[in-house]
Amino acid sequence: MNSRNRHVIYCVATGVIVVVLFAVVCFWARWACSASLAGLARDRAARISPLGPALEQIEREPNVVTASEASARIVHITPPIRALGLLDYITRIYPSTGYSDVYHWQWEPDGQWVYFDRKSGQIVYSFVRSGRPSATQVRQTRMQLYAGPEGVAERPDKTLGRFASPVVTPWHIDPHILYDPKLRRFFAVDFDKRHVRKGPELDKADTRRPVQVGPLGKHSEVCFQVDVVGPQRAVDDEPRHVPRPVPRYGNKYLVPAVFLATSLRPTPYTFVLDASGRIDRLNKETLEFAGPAAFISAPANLFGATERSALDGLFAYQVVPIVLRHRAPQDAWQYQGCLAGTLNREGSAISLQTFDERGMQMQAEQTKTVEYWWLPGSQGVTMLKFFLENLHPPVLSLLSYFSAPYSNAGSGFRALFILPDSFVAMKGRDFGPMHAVRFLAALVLVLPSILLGLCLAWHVSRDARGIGLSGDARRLWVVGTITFGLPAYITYRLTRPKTGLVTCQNCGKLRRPDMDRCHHCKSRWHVPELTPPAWRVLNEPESTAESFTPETGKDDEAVGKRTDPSD
Amino acid sequence: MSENVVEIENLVKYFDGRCVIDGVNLAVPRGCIYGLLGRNASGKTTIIRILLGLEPPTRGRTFLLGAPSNRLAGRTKGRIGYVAEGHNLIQDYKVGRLVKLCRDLSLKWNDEFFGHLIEMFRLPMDRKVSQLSIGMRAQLNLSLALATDPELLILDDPTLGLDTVARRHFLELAIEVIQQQGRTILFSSHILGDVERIADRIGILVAGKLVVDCALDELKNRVKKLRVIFPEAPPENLHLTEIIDRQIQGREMTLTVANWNRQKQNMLELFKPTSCTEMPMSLEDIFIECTQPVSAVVAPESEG
Amino acid sequence: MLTLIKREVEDHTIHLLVAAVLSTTLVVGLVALVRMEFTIEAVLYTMVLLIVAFIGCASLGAAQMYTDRVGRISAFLATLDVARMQILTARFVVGLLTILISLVPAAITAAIVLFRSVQPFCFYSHVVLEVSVTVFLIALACYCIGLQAGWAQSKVLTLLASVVFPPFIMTLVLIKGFGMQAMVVLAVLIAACVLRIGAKFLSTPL
Repeated sequence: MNSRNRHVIYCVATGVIVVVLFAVVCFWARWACSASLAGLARDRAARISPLGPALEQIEREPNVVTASEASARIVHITPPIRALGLLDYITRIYPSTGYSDVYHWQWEPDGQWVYFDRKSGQIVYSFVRSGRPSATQVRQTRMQLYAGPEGVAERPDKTLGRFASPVVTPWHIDPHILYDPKLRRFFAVDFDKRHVRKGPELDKADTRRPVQVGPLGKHSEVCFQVDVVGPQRAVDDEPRHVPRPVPRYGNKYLVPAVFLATSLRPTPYTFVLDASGRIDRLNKETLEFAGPAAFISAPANLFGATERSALDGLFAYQVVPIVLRHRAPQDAWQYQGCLAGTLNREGSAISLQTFDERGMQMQAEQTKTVEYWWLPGSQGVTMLKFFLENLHPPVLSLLSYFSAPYSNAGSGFRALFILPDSFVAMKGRDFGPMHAVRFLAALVLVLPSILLGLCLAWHVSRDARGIGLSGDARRLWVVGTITFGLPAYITYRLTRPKTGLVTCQNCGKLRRPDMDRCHHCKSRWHVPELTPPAWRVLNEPESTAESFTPETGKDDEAVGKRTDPSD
Repeated sequence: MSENVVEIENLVKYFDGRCVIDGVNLAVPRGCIYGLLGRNASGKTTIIRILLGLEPPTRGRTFLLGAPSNRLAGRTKGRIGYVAEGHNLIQDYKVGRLVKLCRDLSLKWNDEFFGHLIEMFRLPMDRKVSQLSIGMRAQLNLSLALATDPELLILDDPTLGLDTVARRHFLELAIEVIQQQGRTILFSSHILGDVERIADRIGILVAGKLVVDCALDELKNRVKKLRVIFPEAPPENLHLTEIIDRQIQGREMTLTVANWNRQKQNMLELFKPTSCTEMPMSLEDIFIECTQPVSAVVAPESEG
Repeated sequence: MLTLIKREVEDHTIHLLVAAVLSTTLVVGLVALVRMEFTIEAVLYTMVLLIVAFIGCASLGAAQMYTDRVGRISAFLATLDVARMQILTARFVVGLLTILISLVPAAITAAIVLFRSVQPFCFYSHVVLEVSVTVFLIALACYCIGLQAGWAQSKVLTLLASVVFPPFIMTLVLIKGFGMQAMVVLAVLIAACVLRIGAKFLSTPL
């Protein structure tokens, strides 16, 4: 490998190292800004009160003093923390989170677990069965049951069939309902009764693709929560059988005006969420769809744009059913509708919608982006975030723009090179204006980055000319600096030839000693500080030249003399 | 196979903007003992380090045993023995460990000869290199270089630190090496008596240039120091070229001339000197004359 | 090549011993982790050990290059029957060996501990592999950074780089988790470091 190729490798390798380390440093700076903004916005909530016609009659009663209210807010861990790669990784491997193939895992007392075995395509239930062979003996045997579409058995059996990546309700909820996308039907698995119930196969024309069954939520409880409070009645006597302390209303006690449940357990239904964001009710007995329930939509971003794909563009959501029971315990629980709360991918906007029992939207509320701007400190942090995004290499910023519509929510909080949550990426997801207009707007957003790149490229070009880099090398560095901005400039400074320059005797400018001619005036070398003598005594090894000795008077031939190249 | 074991083409070296070597061309043929001479900081060690690939040249090319210096294969380096100036050995190692390392890394190792050298120099195997005296380190370095039976021996001031007896042993060893056919030695030294004893060819570096590059006998024949007595004051302009030095005292002129020939003799005789006697010069005398500061040298005069 | 590797091993025996001690400590830590039922203290203890290990890897690389530069060891070896690339490769092999000595026993212990205590193991075998490979790549990346830092002229700069850069590289796990993304970034970083060290070592004056 010659030295030129080696230098090219050296420059490229240095560039890669600089880009990676620079990306890590800038990531944490941007992440700190995002975390600050999320912290500032923590108390913001989308609220709806009262909740709608289902409770209207009750709220009109004379003793009812507070109306029903629902709110959606960020709780506990803010999105930038929740979305970090390590936490995300742990969530994906931890059992019972809905991401793992281990649906249930209980360590104590005996250790039992339920998991999906991809190899056999069957759900496996492992547990310990205690037996008493005699009055004094207790024998514990580990048992395994295998469930496939065709039934349950104690041994893995091909006749049980195969599930293919089933979508399963959380295992602590009974019955255990799952949807198989290949078989296109719902199943209910009951290991106790060793039975699998099948629902009807979905019609071929049915375009639904269920992605979640049962309680619907993403990052809910940990990061995002929808709360519901029913109407409250003021009573004189302190009620019994209610949690203490009992809330007060003046000198009266507040008690719920109606029994309100936020779970579908007492009803014959469960929720099914489709990839498009549509939510349907599923009858738990017949395993057939029982009608629409709601739909999920993403709140608008900073530029007023909404996501192309609702689910991919949401960082968090939660759907809470409203199930009422009137006062008498023998009254049945009735499904009255639901609430759908969503948090956008940047964690900066929350929306809340209410739906009636037919799935019609009744009310919708969204936090205002402009309120976000006026939070104390948020202007400075936002400007800092914008500045940091403009330190990012321009080419990667433009790639972020083009790839923005295809990125999942949450990935932005762990992005090093392509930034799906940057301002320019937000513009990339703004499908309102024409492509050209959108692209121009994106260029304006990255204009500081481009200007920085141009400025640094000019500086690099001037310096490269000064140190005598070839035209090709100079052009490469200029293009590289415009494309990669500050990291490219840092790489140039680190790999710049460190040859000490020497003053050219012809033009007086600094020239490189490792080049035969001055790269300014093309003159050859002249080293005045070295003053060698004019004479030379040189002889080729094979030469037979003779010398002349004055005393001997010997008449010799002229001495052969090798020409000095510097003469 | 090329007859030249060492080749240097238009070598230039700058250190921090300061030129040390300015266009040196050199060829050392196989079987030659080449003495590279120069004052301190004249570039001898730099040339040797560039030849061995330890230092990159600023411009120019160098070749060792036909291979470019910046791409010397291990096999080629195995044919070269090198004694560095200052005896760069791994200081923290014990002698025995260092010897074992060199032995294990060498393609050829003459254990018997090495043992003989160790015995001759009485080197302790269980002492650390840093605890050896400079002379012992020189002996160790030399022994390690010779043990590989090299085709080319490069010695950078090898007798630095050696006492008179050890130096004599070294010279005898060098002669022993020379007597093996096809062996070549390139060495630099400040002890010119030693160089005179063994060198075939001499190179002298002055102001970054190789001003002398010829056989030793040739050098002595071509550089002449003459004592010329004139009937009256010596003439200002002798019309002689390549005057290395000129001293005038009364009617006597001491003249040192390079490439002395009949033409120059005839030119001198035109001035009808009373007498012209050659003063014999040793290599040391020639070296001093060649390397004295430029200000003491007479500017070249035109001939005829 | 074996001679050069042996030489490096003998010169840096202390690092290999420290690696063995660290490995033992990690193994004990992992076993304790299970006994303490994954408490925060146990996790923090293991994290601190890993940070120490990564800084140790960087310091190994720095020590190798720094002692070489100060002792002019490569300048001596380069005059023997060896190519510069062989010297660097032997050095790298020994660094790799040290890292493997410190991490492989811990990885095996983690696998055994998980197999015995966490069922079904088939779900966590890939986790053990992913975590082990990622930790190994981080250690290797820190080592490569150390090799570059050791070539710096200043002792202070060498020390600073060996201590400051490893935590930055470790944060890649916080950012990307233990999965393929982190492995790819680390692999690219390591490849770039190796190429850079190689290009520099082959052309630098010794």
